[in-house]
Amino acid sequence: MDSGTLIQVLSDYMRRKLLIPFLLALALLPAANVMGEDGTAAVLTEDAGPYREAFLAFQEEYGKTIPAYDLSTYTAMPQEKVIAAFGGKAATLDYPETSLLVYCLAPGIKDRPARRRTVAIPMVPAPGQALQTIRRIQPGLRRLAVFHTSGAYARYVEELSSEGRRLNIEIIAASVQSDADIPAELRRLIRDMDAFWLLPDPLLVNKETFTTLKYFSRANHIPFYAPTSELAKKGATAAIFNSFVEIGRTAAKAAKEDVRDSSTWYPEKINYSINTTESGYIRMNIPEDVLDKAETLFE
Amino acid sequence: MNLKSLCATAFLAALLLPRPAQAQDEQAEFWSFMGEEAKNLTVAAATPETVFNSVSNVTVIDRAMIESYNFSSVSDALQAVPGIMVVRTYLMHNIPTIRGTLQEHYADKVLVMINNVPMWNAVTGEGDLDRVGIDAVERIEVLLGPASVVYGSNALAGAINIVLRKPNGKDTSLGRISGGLGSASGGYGGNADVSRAGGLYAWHGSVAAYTLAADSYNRAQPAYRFHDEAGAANSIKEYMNARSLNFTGNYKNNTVLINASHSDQNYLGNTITLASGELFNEVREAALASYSHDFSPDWGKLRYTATYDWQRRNIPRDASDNVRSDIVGSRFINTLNGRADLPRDLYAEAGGTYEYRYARRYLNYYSNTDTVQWDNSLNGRLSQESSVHAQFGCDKEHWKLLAGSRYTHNSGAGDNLSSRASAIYLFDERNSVKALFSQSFRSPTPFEQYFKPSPVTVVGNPALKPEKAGTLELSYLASRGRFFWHLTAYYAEYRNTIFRNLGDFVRDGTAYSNVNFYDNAPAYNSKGLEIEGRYEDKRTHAFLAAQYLRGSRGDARDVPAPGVFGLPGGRTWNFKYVPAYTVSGGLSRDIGNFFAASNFTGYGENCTLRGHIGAQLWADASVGYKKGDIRHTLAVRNITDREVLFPEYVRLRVVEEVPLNTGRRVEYTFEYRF
Repeated sequence: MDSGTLIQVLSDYMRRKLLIPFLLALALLPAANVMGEDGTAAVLTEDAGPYREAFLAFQEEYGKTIPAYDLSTYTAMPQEKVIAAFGGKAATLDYPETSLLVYCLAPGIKDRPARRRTVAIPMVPAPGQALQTIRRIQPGLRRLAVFHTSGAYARYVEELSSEGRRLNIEIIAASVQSDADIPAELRRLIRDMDAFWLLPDPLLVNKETFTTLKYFSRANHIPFYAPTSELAKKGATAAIFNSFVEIGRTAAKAAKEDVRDSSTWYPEKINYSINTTESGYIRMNIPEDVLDKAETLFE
Repeated sequence: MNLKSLCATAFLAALLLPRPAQAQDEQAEFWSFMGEEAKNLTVAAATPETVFNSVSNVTVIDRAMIESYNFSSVSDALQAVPGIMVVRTYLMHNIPTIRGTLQEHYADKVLVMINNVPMWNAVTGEGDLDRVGIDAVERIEVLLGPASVVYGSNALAGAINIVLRKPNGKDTSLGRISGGLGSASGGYGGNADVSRAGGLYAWHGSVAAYTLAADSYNRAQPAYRFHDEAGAANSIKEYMNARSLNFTGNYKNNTVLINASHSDQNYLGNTITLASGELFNEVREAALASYSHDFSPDWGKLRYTATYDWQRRNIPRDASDNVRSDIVGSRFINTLNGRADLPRDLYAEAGGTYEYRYARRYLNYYSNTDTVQWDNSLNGRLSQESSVHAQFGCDKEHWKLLAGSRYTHNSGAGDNLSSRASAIYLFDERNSVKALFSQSFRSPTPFEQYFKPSPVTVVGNPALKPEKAGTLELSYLASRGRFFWHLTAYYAEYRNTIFRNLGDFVRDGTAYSNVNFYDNAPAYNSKGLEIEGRYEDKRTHAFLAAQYLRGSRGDARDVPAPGVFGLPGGRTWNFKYVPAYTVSGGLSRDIGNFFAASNFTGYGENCTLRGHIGAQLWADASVGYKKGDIRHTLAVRNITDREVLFPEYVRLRVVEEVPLNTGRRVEYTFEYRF
């Protein structure tokens, strides 16, 4: 290893292992009731993974630097006029009543925080868009089972049903109480569905559930639509999702608006990925133009 | 800009520093994200397990299988599990028997639970499969092998958990009624009655949900010719009529379970004679209320459960039905269980249980005057049992390890330490091998310790030690396409098994000569092989379950000649009455709106005290039509019309066998969902 490389490694190490914790420690100083210059602050459930990715996109779209707080190491209570919350923990803090709360990446929140002005950015695509996309991937689709717990997604599934009637797709609400109920629900619906879609429900999305659904799909030749591209890569037939980047951007757009009441903003761009190995395995013919436009094709 | 804002901005700058990879490319980060979001929910997700990585040997019969094969009771459904027989003694119907561990008069060696809440008689120890009707069942989980570290006393040979149905829609109600007529023919008579009736209502709101299920099932067997120990014969028509009501509700972190049941069944008598009440009715009643609260501390999960379980049996004791016994008991249980996730894929589970067991009475009384004949020395006996347990586990991608122990103190039977250790290797998500070691115990019941009737039939023994069991198991589970296999080989040891001995016995200074009394048996063991295979596609389901076992004669003893009809005595031991082979299987198929299914159960050749019983085979078949919310089913039970026999292994005098089935029976069921 030459000295330049060594220095680069040490530099990276210092930055990752020392600088960031140092800056984080500074941020951890008692900072209750702080206010950003711009009147907007971001609160992250954790400075990692999807929260971070969405926040970076938010920041880019927003165009200004704003204070950000990591709840995994620090209990913040920003007082800004606009709060962008990333994650369920961040979304459920008790912010000032007059602030506009824009929250995203909170797939488990059942009830919108009881506030006058709230914008929710869902992880799921708009119902009509989602069904149209699935219909394009699977033109013969007539009956779609949607797996979720009844809490956070009950209203969304109702909207799906409504859109489904318009598109002549019967939505089967596969509402379960926990992941333990999924095998029985699959067997109950095995003869009644043409495809099934797992919503990004934290109570259901885990490795074991995913494995169960993946093998059920393979064994019974029923397409499995997942809530994220990575799950399509790991064996779901396809994924229908809003990217974390799009979610962050949409949150930024909402934060810039003078929102007066509570509403839901779906990201405009819907993404889908397809696992062609899996679709071939279950003998599913996907139109070429749909394959061409996929965000990612896993082969 | 003030200092704090500057700090926050600096933190933002740190956030903006480039990182090596995008978060969404990291699947681990996605799982971590979902796990983090699950923490914020009111109801935390249960620790997910599949049969492949479960630290026990578990078989599940789910709702789809129950409906496919039209099982009419929990007992019927259990026959589909390898390693389980549902047999009877002359005192009890529907006794679940795991891996050939016979259960004396009472079914107290298998723990029966509703939604993981143990329910069993505080006086005589038996769990009752008929406390839940099949239409209220979502699934039945069967754990084969000792399970005291997890469940405490009574899970000696295994555990059966009956999981009740839950609402499956948002803000929706599910109503269901079903009913049918049954007709029994053959033997000495026929019968027609309402075989099943039930209703289920479920509601699911935003923060609360509940399910209410009422269920009734009547099974009248065709009559058969019964020869008693005195040589008398009569036509006997056996029956089981069970009703149950179940309520489950939850509100935020609180869960309530209520179960109430009542059953009427015929009774073969305290001795197998027509003069001991076999023509009369036995009544069983029970009520259970359980409340749980889930806490979600930062370090893991915590659940507190308080349960009250009350049971009553009322049985005839003579041919005039003038003398009856009223047996009443209750249990009050407090349990606190927690789980903490530790660094490096480790976790710890720990908990404590405190239980009061109250034998209120075992009273013989004259039914015409309601006056007491004898209290059997079982009035107002209170015992307490407390236990603590801890388990430590490690979950790696391919390995799963768990080890733990439970220490128990029983006020009447002393201390016990049971342990377990499990190692699982997952070749992949659908291929695993398991090595399991587990121990269990059962504290003697008040009946076994203190019963003292007049006239003497059997005497309790206060010096009884707890029964103990230990098992070594090796399992292989695999799934490919639509097929699933589960193979298990095991070696089991049983010590201090409680049984009815015959001889001279002294209790409380009183000497009894040639009397039945409860005693601990010498150790014995068994080894066996269980095979389960399932196939499933969109329209077809099939299963095959088989068990082979060989048991030792470590508990062998002599049975004296009964002194009548010139019959000789014999030699007896537990596994004498357990067939070496048992097999069950089934096939169900949908054809358009029509469906058909058949399942069978077979027991290999078997011994009675002095003779043999040939191989037994019985089968049920059903056909039906379903469209929309309506379903019609026509079922034939025991289609071969054979009398299915099982050895009489408790009394061991004159009668050599008792019937499990006596003839063919036809049932029609109608179901409407709204």
